[in-house]
Amino acid sequence: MGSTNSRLSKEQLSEYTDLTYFTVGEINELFKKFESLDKQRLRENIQNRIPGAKLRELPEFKHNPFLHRLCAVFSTSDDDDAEDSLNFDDFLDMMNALSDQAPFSLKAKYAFQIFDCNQNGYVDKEDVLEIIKHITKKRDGIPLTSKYLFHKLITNVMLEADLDQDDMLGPAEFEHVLSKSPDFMSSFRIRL
Amino acid sequence: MSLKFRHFKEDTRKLFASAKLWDYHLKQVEGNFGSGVHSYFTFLRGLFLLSIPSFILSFSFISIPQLLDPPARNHPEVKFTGEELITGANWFTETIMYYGYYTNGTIQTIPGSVYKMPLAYLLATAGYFLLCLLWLVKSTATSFRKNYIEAKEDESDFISKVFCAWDFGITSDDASKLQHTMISTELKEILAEKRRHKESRSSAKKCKVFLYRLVTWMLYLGITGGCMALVYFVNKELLNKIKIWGNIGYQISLALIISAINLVMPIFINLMTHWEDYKYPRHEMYIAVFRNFLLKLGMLAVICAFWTDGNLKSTHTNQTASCWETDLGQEIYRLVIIDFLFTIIFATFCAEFIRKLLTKCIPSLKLAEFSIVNNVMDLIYGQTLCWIGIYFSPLLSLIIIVKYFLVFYIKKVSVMQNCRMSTQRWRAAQSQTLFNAFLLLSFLLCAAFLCVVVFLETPSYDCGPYRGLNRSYDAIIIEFQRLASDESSYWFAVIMNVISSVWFLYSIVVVLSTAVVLVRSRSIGYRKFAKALREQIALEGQDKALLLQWL
Repeated sequence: MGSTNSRLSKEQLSEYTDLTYFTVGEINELFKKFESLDKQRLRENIQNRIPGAKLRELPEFKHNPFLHRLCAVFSTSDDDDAEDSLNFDDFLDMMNALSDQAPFSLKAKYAFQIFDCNQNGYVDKEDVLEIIKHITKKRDGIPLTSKYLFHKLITNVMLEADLDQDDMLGPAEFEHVLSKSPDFMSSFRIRL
Repeated sequence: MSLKFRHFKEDTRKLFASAKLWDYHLKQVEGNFGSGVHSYFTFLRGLFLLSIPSFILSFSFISIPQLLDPPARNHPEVKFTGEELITGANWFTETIMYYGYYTNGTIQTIPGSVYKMPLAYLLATAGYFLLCLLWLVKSTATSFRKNYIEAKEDESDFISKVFCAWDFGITSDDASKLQHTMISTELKEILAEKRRHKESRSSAKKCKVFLYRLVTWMLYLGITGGCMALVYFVNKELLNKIKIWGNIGYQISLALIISAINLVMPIFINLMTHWEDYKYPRHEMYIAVFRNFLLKLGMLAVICAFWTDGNLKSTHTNQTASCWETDLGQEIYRLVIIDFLFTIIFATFCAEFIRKLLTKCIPSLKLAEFSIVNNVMDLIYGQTLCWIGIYFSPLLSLIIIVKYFLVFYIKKVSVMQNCRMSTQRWRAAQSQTLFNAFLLLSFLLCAAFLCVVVFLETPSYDCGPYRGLNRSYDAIIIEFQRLASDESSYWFAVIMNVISSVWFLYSIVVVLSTAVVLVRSRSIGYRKFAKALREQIALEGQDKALLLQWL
């Protein structure tokens, strides 16, 4: 089902189908979506990078509160100025992790990195606070819960998840806790 | 080796993924309404795809051979009028639509081949049921295995509500705003729940609640019994009038009554269950759904019992009674059609479309929420009708395919235009398990009923592929005896002797029981092991903190 006007070469397509869970048709569709963000830049060089903020134009990411975390995690840019810019490989990586067929371990690994907002290698109380703020804020940025409730929520989360009681969630604890939530797989995905 | 197998699995999956039906529509629904409504449409698609092999099996193995050699009609003067589409009777009675038309002999139109209709009829139906059983058991087992991990009370599950709350699939503006509000409401709610959970009910209140529940159960059983008795009496009264061909009013009145009860009674039952004041809203929903389901099944059971009752059947002594299998098939057909019409007219048109028009006049009234649970239970009821009816009306699967096709598009348009997103978060995993379990339960009940019909009931004397036999199963037995006595298939007789001996069944039962006991004791052992490991991790964490302190 490959489209006739694809700008990706056959070797690239076969490489992508081998490395991801997508079919040729899906990869072409993804490329079209990615290209639509900045046709000019991609015409110069397919591997050019697009800044993360531009991804907000896509309908799938328009309302996602975790977009900047997604870009930060999946970006492989060395440039300090453009830390969350993605090229097509990064974009494909991201959609692959969020796809229907990605297994639990892959999603859990990336979810850990995404939820680790302060990037200290652990999901600690600050990170949980950030997450709760992200998912409850209204469009104009005013949070919906009071400080006291935040504190109670964080305490309860840590109580359930923190097995070695060091007030932080390591990758193993995080994965263990996610494996007990059956809703994780169905909510942490973007369908094409 | 396993890598190659995984590659092969991936490749086949990719091959089939490119031919997915209705994908665009499903994505649209999910983007606007979240994964809950999406799961309803996926369920509908699954049932649609399940009906296709049924139609292929029954049409190619049963109907097509019969079409090549059509038997003479008893009433050639009846012509096709439009009425048959609703009543399923009159001209349809003597077509491949119903059991009664099929011959009990062999079809030999193609020279040299001998096609035994009684065998084909039974084996095709059995094949389809086996396929359904395998698919249902597999899907129930996988969802149960995935979701049984959620062992503790779901209402105070903070992890799930923080880390898994945001549905990444949402694309519309309104839906995302609603999600934010929903999540913050839920978080506040579970904190309140936790506080409330600590206060237990006083014993006076417990007594009161117990009395309420006793009263509502009595009331519910009374209502169900009343409805079942009503169906029985109406059926008995109309028995003779149904048989008069062309009497459309009487013919569809039973189906109308049953569909009306299915429409109105759930409202009362839901109210009753609400009065019972359950601690968790989830329990209330489970009990209400279970009661509604039982009511519907009860009425179906009365109809089935009525027609398989001995007095109505034509035997070699009483040849004036008609073909009870065809009559039951017609009744099921009418139920399917009227149920479909009621769903479209009342559930979709009135509840959703008219309400949308009313919201323009009355500002305080909001758009309807798409009730996922009620709609899925309607689907399960429709599929139950299909499973019961397929033995008596082989072409019913075609009707069902068309019905599911229309329902998909009508519901989708209605949802997109007339509904708003639900304010309660959808617990996809548990609800999926619940629906699969209900589907499996209704399948087993239908299969049990058909086993009774095939193995115990006497078929009609003068119609259908089993006329003249004592039981339908005798056709198979006769065939086995023929094969056993035939010298060229000696191995067949040997296998049959082994399988039907008592020792074989006994050894199977012993092996299965042993396996169950072993697996259970292993799971108990694992649970103890996990508990010990958890304590060990906590201790090690404390050790680490202590050592860091000493440094």
